[in-house]
Amino acid sequence: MKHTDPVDCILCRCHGEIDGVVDFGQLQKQLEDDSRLRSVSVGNALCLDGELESLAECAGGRRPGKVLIGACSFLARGDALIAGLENCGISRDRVFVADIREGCAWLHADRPGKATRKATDIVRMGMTALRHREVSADVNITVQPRVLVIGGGPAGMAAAVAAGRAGVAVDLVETSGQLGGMLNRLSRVAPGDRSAEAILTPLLEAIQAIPMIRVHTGTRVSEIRGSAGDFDVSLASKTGSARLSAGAVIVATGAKPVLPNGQYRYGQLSGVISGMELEKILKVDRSVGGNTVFIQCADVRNSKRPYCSAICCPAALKNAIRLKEIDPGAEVTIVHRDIMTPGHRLEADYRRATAAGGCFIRFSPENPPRIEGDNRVTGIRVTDILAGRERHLKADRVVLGTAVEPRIKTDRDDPVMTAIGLAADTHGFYRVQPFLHTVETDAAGVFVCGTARWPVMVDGAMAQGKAAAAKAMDLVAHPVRKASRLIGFQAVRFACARVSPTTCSGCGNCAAVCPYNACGLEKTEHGLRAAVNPVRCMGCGSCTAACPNGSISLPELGATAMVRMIENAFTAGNLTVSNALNGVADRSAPGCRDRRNGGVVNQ
Amino acid sequence: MTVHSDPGIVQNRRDSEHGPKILVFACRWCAGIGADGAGRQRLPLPADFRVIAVECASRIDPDTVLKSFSEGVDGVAILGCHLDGCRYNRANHATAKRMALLSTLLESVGIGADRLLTSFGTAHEGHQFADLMRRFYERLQGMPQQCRFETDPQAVSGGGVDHA
Amino acid sequence: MLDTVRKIAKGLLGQGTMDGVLGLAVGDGGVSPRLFEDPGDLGSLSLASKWPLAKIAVTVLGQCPDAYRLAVVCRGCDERALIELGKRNRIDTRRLHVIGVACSGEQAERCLCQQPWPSRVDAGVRAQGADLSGNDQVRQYLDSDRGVRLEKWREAFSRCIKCYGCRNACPVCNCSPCRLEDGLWVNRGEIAPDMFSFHLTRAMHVADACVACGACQDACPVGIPLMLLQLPMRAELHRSYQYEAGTESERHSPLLSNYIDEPAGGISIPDWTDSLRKNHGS
Repeated sequence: MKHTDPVDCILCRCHGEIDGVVDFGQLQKQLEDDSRLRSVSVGNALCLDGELESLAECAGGRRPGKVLIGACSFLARGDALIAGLENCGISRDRVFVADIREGCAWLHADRPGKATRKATDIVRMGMTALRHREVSADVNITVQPRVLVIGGGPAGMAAAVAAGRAGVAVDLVETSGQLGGMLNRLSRVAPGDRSAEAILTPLLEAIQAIPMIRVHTGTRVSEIRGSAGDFDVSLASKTGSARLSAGAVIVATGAKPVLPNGQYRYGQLSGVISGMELEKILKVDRSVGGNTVFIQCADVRNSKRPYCSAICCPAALKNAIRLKEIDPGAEVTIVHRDIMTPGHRLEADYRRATAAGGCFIRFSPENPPRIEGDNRVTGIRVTDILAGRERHLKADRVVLGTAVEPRIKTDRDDPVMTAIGLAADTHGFYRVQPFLHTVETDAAGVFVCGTARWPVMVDGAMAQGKAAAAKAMDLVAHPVRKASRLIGFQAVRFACARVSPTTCSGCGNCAAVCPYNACGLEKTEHGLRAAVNPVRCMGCGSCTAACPNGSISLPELGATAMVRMIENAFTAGNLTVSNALNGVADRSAPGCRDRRNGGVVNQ
Repeated sequence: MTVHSDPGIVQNRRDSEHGPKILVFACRWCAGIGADGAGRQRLPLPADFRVIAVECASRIDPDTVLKSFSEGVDGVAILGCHLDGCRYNRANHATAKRMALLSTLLESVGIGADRLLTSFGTAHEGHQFADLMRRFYERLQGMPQQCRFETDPQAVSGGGVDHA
Repeated sequence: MLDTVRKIAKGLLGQGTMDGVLGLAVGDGGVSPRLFEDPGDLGSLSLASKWPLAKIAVTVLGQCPDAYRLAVVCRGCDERALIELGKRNRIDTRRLHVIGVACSGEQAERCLCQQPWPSRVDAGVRAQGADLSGNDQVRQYLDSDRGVRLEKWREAFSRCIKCYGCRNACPVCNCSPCRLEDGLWVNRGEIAPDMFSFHLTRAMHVADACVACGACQDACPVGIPLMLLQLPMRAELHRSYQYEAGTESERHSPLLSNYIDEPAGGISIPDWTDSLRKNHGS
């Protein structure tokens, strides 16, 4: 594709929606006078009845050329038009749809004269973008038909089983000595009251039974190199190290419980325990009795951890029910700020807790409960917001709800994951794609599930694990993939950055600014030069903006295209400079000069 | 500067609105959806702005903004996604920082930092986009305009027109 | 002070610790950079003039074998420039040794320099940085009304003859080819060049690397106060990120990172989203 390739322009009337405002007579005349276009034709409604295809043929679609369409926006039918032309054999990169409907006619119906000028400019800008568009190289990558699952908790196990059952080879890596994660530490699992074994045992059996799943316990991932389709993973364990390759990586490393140090005299007063400690007690001791007060939102939903940890309320409810079952005479109270029970099963747990005799007292964070006792806890005092007065509760045991927090604080704490482009949000949980909030991350080929992604209960973690497995399987299903199609959520990558090694000076701006670690410096015969990983590059353009002399750029939208678009943005109508900011008021500014005679900038 | 006092030209000048010219760089995601939404809702807007769509606001650098001013544009708007919501893993952060620094330069030289509008995440709905553009127009209207549209080609032959 | 530097240089060369010392020398017709390699031949060494030696150090090291160790007589700005060049992979600062020279108070005033000393001072005494508030030029170009500022800058830029002296003299300016010579961005044959596409573009390119050496201003034949162009941006980088070019060799420009890795003081991310709501000065 060269910028001298002929361009055929097709305008769409959109059944009067566009040409009811924009004067097509004038528009056509301006465009026909433009030597950069080979032909200009008008269609009634290009998205209907093959009109586009026949116009494209008439306009010379069979001879190599480019097609510029003036029609509706990309979000309306623009994309469909491009697809339609692709079916005629005109590839996507030869087509540009300039938006003169949502972007012009529909905004300026009350100003048809100006709308016509604007439409002319919009079409010219599209023309120049199309002329100077180049095509990024696209590489084929060989995909390793294996999936790496990091973390052997419920999310990781569910992911491994889902992938393994489908026949995909899985490496499941767990740092501790056994699989199970949080399931090893819980007595029962909310919602409902299944025992942790009831969930864990089938998973372990399934993993055992599927030969495609290789389990590495007592092992951690020490380094991951490479990119989607071909990750090079280094494992380290007490017995030594190993290397394996994977096409996709599922991160299910979980989160760590928050020990409520400094809260409610925890650690100072005997009888004040954390939720995790209660789980431990309930696993072994069936005769747990006595008056119990649960205090929720301990050291969470505050400025330090401004989020709800999702698991502590269900845990408190199921444990309250359990305690009442064991000792119906005991007073069990849940002191809370809110009770978070989304879904009907958790709501049912809440009702069961109240039916069993549990009490609920609401406090405000400005006025937290106070623990009483000298060597051992004896009770608490709390201001009940709903009752409007202070209450004194007897307690043999105070249980502080255990929240979860991320294992890392910032990306800097996590060099292994940062190296493959996995980023953490402001709280430290791994970032997934915004808006869609699925299991895909900003790094192609890396998926996140479970509490590593966000606080979630066991059933949610397992569902996410299966989702991540589905995405991972989709990626590794093909032995060869095009790099541009690795971005699941965007369908097709816009561009892949390209370096001009003769002009690059190796300053490293692009490498520093790339959000995907796709750009690095390497030694060449010219010296240190930038180099782009074509699999990791997502075509955002950060490097292009950071490079001082245009040595790295996006071929589809390089410096030439950008500058020409700016020059063509206000060409319709005649311009003169009366008060230029650059202070040269007594002659036209350079961009205006060519337009002075009604002509256009000829680029 | 030559003064044109031909009544016909003066009349033409009064009839056609001379709005400040704005070049908008909008990312395809939040901002592009907002601009599209404004169109779909037929929200009326002044017609002196042009939109250049980019994949991500991070593609825009100060050189591009300065080139736009050099071409006679009165205001430049950079519209991107919310700083926490960039599809390209916070690529818009560096852009925000650069534009903040460029604003400092524009203000110190006397051009005015308010000629450079940055919006990260406040223009993703139609009415927000329209509202933002209107406010930007208003702000720029109080400032000197670089180029003026003239309807009569004869008017430009002298190379300058007075403000009368 | 000159004797101290000579002594140090003689020692380094004599003992073979360094292969060469880069400094300024008095010769026929004036002062010019010179590479001293003979410990007995330091007589012409001079500290009288100011010229940024950083770029010359890059050239020297580029032409010498890899094992060559170079000492450079550095003012504060020289050292800062070398650190910035090191960050941009133009020079390997491990091959350099700094002979630090502190500038006098008068020199600091002339250069509007806030930090007229290198990190290690071998000769001279640290003087106080320049007081910008009392400076007339600063006031006219940076502190007055917006309209007055614009007029002053327009007038200054209108004198530009596009000699590229500012770009050539700047120690951190090093691209080849340079965007300022690209006809796509800067119109050819246009004197005075357009303020936006030439001067302001150049200012933005060096914004986060400017070490306030004043070489640009010294080089300008028509007296454009180019240092003043960079001052507000340097102040902004300092205020927002506590960043000053040339002071930290391990820290990259904040413009190359996101707000999580490199937070901006006083800006919380969700708040700064619409610059129209910010109040700007008149």
